[in-house]
Amino acid sequence: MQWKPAATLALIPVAALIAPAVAHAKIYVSVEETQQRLFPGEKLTLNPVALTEAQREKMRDLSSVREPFRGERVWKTAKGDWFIVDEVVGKHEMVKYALAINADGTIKGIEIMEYVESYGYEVGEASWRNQFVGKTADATLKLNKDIKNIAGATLSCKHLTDGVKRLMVMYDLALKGSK
Amino acid sequence: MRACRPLLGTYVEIRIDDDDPEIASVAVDAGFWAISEVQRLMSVFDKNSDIGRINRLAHLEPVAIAPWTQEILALAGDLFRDSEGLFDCGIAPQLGAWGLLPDSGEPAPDSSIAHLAFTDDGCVTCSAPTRLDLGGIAKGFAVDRAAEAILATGAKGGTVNAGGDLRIFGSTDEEIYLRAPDNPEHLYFAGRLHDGACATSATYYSRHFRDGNEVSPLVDPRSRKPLVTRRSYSVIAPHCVVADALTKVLALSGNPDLPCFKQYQAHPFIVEPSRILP
Repeated sequence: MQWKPAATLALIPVAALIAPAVAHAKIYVSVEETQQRLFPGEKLTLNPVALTEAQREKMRDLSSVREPFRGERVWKTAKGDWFIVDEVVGKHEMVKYALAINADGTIKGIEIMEYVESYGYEVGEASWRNQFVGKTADATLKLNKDIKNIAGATLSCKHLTDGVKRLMVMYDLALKGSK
Repeated sequence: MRACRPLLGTYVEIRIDDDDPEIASVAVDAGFWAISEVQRLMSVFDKNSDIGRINRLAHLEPVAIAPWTQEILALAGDLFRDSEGLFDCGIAPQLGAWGLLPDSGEPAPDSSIAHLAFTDDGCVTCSAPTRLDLGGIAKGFAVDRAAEAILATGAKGGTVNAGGDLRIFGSTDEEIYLRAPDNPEHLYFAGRLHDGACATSATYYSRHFRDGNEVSPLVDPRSRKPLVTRRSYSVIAPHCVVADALTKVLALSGNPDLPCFKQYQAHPFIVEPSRILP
């Protein structure tokens, strides 16, 4: 190990260096890359799902996730496995992730696609969330000064767990057994 | 190549520095495999994990455990002694009572890793009911195992970061930033690290209130009371498991001059809301 401490420990307000409402954004993988990672060599077909209000309400009740689910980001393999892209907004973060479900209803994998840290801002406000609408990976990357190694207290992934739970409820209600 | 998955209750990020995408892809999978293996063996939420079985049975009969669990418990025992009892993985009953861990309801009033003993055939026994929780050390241990697994694939180097406990390995040296404890979106540049680890304990994400009192996962084994602090405590060390454990020793003692830091080649930092010590 070699450790060279900084001469002076100057505070760096990251939020001031970059776009005002995004403290720190990380892009991990695109939809296509995630599909290849979770289903190597397989062809996935877009399979949008339309949910009834009753189904949406059940998803909210059983998972406590309030944000609306976007049913157009659902794919299926020839074998009947599912690939779903979704987002969750936590107290400190926004996470875009992919869930892969095997044809037998078990979880095959979860992969984080994008992570935006937002501590200290009103993340529930529509204006904040709208910043990401229509953004490509490249556009968001420009906001990111790519500070790589941040040591800090552990951030719980409970919101993501709730998000996965809601997708599994959705699978039960709308995808299971569908042709 | 970078990838991130939810493991150990947090977001685990692996970055591989290798130009060969095939090696990088295999290395990412190897790293995540090691971390999920540590999670499987050491989860306190699973009553059939090694730790789950120790907590239920080790005061009644010898419990057989995997080599990695033996290794982490041996190290936890060393750290308990070298920190003069400040680092104790036996505080699970307290966390259970505060709603931070599942509460088995069984009394274990003197729960401590000091009761643990190893048998010659790879089992552990406990001389008194003890409920272990490796939350203060397993993340660091998992990060180290991931780094080893990645290097074994032939990848040149990279980083593993389990929600803020991180390890740098391979040829590069990397800038390390610490979060400001009063405003975690602000960062301090702490220095440059080559082939080493950094871990932090603070309560800015985890503190909450229980019966009107603030509780946190940082428990003082002497008083069994939560540490209520607005500081954060970081340790640089050769291995992440040591860095992770020593952040608790630093937080509880408030003393960066304890001999155990030197003994483990560790560099402690206490970050005040507006300044850094030492």
